[in-house]
Amino acid sequence: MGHNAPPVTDNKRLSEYRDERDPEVFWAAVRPADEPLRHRWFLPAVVVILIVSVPWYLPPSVGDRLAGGLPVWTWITILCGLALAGVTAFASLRLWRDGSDEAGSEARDGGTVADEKDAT
Amino acid sequence: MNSSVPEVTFGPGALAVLGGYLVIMLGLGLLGRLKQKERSLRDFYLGGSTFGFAVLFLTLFATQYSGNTLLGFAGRSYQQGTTYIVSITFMILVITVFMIYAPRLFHLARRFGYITPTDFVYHRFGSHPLRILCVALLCWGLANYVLEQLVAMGHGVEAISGGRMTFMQGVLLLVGVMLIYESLGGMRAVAWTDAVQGTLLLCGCAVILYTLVTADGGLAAAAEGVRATAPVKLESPDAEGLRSWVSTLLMLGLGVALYPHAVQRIFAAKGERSLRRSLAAMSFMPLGTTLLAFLIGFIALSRFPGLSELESDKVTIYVLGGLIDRSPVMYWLIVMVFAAVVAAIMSTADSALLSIGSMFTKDIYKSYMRREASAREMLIVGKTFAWGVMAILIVMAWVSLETESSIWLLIKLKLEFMVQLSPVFMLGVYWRRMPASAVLAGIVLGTLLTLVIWCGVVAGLWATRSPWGVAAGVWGLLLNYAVCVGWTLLRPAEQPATVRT
Repeated sequence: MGHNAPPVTDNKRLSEYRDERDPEVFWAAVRPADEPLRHRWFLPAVVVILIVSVPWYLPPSVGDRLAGGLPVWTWITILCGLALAGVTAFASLRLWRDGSDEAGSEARDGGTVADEKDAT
Repeated sequence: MNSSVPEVTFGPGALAVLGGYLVIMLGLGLLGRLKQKERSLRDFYLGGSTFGFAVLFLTLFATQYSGNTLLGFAGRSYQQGTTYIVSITFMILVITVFMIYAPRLFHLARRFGYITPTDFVYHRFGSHPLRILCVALLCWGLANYVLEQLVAMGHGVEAISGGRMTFMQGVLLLVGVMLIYESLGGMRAVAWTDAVQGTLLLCGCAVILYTLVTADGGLAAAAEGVRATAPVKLESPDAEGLRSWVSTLLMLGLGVALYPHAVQRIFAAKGERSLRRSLAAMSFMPLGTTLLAFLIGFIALSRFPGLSELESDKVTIYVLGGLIDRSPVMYWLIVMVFAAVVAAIMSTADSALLSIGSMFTKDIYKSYMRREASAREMLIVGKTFAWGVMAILIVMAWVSLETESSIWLLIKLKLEFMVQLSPVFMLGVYWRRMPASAVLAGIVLGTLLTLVIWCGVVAGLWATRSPWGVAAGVWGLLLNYAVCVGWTLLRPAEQPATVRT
């Protein structure tokens, strides 16, 4: 081990979960400021897209028709994939807010929340 | 081997590129070591939770898209035909499933400092048997996942060296490099190498996609070829195929979203904005990468009909190998693509191995073997355990080569069991009333049902692991959810303790 190696951190200073158990504290802390499932349209939209993406409504013979080098029915699944990706990306960017202070820590280019906890 | 399959000869230039790439990986491992802020589990296994959008996105991307995506998925597309277009949907669905439980898990992880997914399991349920069972199932799944990457490593190096290196030499070379940079720099080294590997992978996929749709008549010529040789593979699925489609969506959509190394990247995010943007970008990635693997299989179907299941795992190599002599530019582009394939394999294996080490150290060693263990001791134990697991897996990779097991079979062994943990996270973060006993009973019964269906096939009692077109693991999962919900609802509500007078 070289003399430049970082010092071994005292275990008690780590901001790491150490088997604490308090259900009341857990459930009081579980909800972020906003999350996709709180928006009633999110889950039904996902289910509808998935139902349409499965080609249950087409006869097997539809494979005879090609478009762009692939059977036409596969394009329906690809377009549904695009729609699912769009809904998911929207949910991630607009329907989810953590509400904790880490956005501030990101903006500062400095330490993490964990580092800040350690320092206090 | 089929006589129409092209011989892939890369020449010494490709080996030099591979060598240079491996040297860069080692350098990044060393850099990761020098950048360590402290010797703690958080720093080693989560990179100190400091990853911003660019690194987080690239590490998520390189980790989720593995050797299996470019080799195994293409092989499956070859075997199954156009119905494997389902692969695009389930890879997007993985990110959609994250939208259900990740906001709460991330919120809790920031508040309580989780290092492993099973930290959450113990915190939420307070059950030691449940935590141990979860670690066992997750490590089982991850070990299988690493094994699958080792098999892909062997094939990849064998191809890129033009037969100068054997399957096992390739495995040993890449594993050696991987273990060195991972042991030096932990998650930080893994994420930085992932960033390089992810960039290579993105560029490589773009090159292949362009080449495939422009060379030799593109997809239209391929479709005519498939129509001539295997027209049934153009058809939409029949009734059993539809059930199999839904079963695949459930098993892979729910199962892949539980990969511990992916969950730990949620914990490693610098903040919510980086994580939300990374996941939003990830939701569109299957439309490039998974679609590409599907197209490679489709084109191979027209060019190399009649490959066995084992040979079909190499269709990516065959399809690209057929283009290599076109021009010097194409040669170097294909070399880059193969470097990207090797990169994808290594980035997935290193992340999974790191995750195994973290769960053993944090959830088993620290909790049940030596509670007073220091950070230094835990890191040494974690690395030693990971090296030991890797040694066993290398032997298993050799055995799998000897028994000609295909990559797809290994995936099934992994996800069938791992998906049984779905209620722990999906219901666990929302349903306070659900007790540990219900979850434990659900997982045990779901896993047992899956095992019974698999063992019945081995014993010759029935013919298929997918009764009625639905995979054994999905039957297990349905039973699992039914037990969790039923047990919770039928269990008498807990009464507040009263004092007798």
